Amino acid sequence: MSTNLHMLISIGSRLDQVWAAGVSVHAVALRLGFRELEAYQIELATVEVVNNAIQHARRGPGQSVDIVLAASEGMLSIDVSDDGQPAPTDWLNRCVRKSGDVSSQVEADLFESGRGLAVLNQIMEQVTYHRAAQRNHVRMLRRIPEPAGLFPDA
Amino acid sequence: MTSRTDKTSGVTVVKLLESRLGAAEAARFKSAIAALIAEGYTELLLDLSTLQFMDSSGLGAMVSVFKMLTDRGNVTVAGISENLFSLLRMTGMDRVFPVYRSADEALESILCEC
Repeated sequence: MSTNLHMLISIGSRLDQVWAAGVSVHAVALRLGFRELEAYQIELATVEVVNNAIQHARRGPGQSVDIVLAASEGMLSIDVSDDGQPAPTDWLNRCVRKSGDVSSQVEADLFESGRGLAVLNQIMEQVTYHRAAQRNHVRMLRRIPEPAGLFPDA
Repeated sequence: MTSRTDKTSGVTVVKLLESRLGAAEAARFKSAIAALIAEGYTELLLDLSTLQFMDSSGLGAMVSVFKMLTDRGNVTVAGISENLFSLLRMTGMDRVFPVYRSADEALESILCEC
C-alpha cells in the first residue's frame, strides 16, 4: 500500500515549544512503520534543525517555525522552515564535515555545542538547505521501511 | 531534579524527574549541577532513567558537567535508554561517560573500585 501524508506543524519560535513538534514527529514516524529507535532519531534530527532555526531566527511575537511532514513513494520528507537570517553558504558542508569526524576526536575536542547538526547526516539519508521567499528551508529525507503505511494491516 | 548522597561510597546520585533534556532545559540542568559541585559534591551519578528524550543541547550540558569535574571528581551515567545511548554513540560520547544500566548497578561498580 502506498502511503500519502502531508502534515503541517507550526510552533512559535520558542525553545519551550519544540517538544510539541518533537513528539508529533515521533508519533508519525512510528505510525509510518519506523522502529522506536528510528522514530527517536527522526525526532532528534527534527528537533536539532528546529532548535537551530529558533536560535538564529528573528525574535519577536508572531514568529514561527513550520515543519512539513510528507510521506509518499516510500520516502519521508521533513521540511523545516523559518524566516530567520540566511545560513552561511557552507553551512551544510560544515555539518557534513563535522559528522564525519565527530567521534574520532571526541576526547581531544569536548565541545559543548555544535553536535546537533553533525548528527543529522548520520540519521537522515539526505539533508539539503535552500532559501526561498525569504525563508530558510532545511529538507531531510529518510526512506520509510517496508512494510510501510499509515494502516499497515490494511 | 532530585539528588541524594550515598554515605558509603560518597557518590551523589542525581535523579532527573523530567522526561526531556533539550535546549529548553539544558541551562537549568547545568546550573543545578554546577550548584551541587560548588557545594563540594564532586562524585556524581546521573540517574537518567526517567529521561525519554535528549538532544545535543542536553548532551552539551552533560559534557559541561564532565568538564567542570575535570581533576576534581567524576560523573557517571545510569539508566539511559537505548534511544539516548544511540545519541552518545553517534557523537562518540559513549567513550567519555561511564554508562550503566541502572543507578544500583553503577553504585555497585563504583563501590567495587573503592
